[in-house]
Amino acid sequence: MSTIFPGSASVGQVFDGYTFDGTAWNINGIDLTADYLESSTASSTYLTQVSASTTYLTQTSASFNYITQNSASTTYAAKSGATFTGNITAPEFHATTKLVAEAAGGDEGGEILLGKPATNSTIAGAGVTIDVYQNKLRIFEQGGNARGVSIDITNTSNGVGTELTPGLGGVPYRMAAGIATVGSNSPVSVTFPAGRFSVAPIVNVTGNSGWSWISNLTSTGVVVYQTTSWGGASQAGSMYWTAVQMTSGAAGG
Amino acid sequence: MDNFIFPEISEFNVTCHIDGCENKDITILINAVKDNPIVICGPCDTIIEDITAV
Repeated sequence: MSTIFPGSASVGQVFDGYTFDGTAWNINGIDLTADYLESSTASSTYLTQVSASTTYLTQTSASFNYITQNSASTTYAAKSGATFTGNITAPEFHATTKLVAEAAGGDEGGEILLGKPATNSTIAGAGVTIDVYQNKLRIFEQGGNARGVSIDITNTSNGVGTELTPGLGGVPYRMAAGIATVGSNSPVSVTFPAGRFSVAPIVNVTGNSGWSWISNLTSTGVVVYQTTSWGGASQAGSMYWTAVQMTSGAAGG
Repeated sequence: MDNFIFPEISEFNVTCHIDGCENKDITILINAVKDNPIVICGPCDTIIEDITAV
């Protein structure tokens, strides 16, 4: 870079990265009246603005690197494309449009960890993680047996059309349904999906003929059969069954 | 035709091994007819062959 400026220049004239303002040569891209760099100690390197401006960056401790704002301004650290290494700690973090948690790699997508309460919580681990794994959005405890829930996004409707809780009331806690083929004089047992019900559900059965019956109902399955009439002979056929548990602790509700 | 007499019931451990079934390789304790039990897997509507009396 040249250190000798032209002996005469007009306002706005550019020379080797500098622009003449009528009095002095300013470095292009920096407004010396508002933006400037200053280091007030030798113990650390920092960027600060000590004017009365409401927006600035400063480091007030040499123990670690961080960004803070001491004024009442609501905007600071406005740098497009800024990249941080390490952690950012703040009482609140606001994203004016959206918060992006980038994919971690492989089957793991973005992830957010919500810390668990200090008291009255039996959540295992550090807290509850919300993440994307393969096709699933998952919410689960970050430890123990990873209790949680998931939604397979590929099984949901276009236009964000699947409503988890329609708000209509009376949505069953658990359900299952199927078709069982029974033979003459041979009632069959039907297993429910493993772990689906916590109590014996309410079961409705409809056969393709005669009278439909159930017996020995438990939370894991039911025996179904059909007869030609009340107390009549057993007969073969298809049995269409539906099992419902309305709440987490009771079949009805 | 004789009236149907409901047979005696016992407990069995049953395991479905159908690929793709929600209950695949999960052992479930269930009530079934004591003699010649027939158990159908609810999720896949298939007769379960792996039955063990408890």
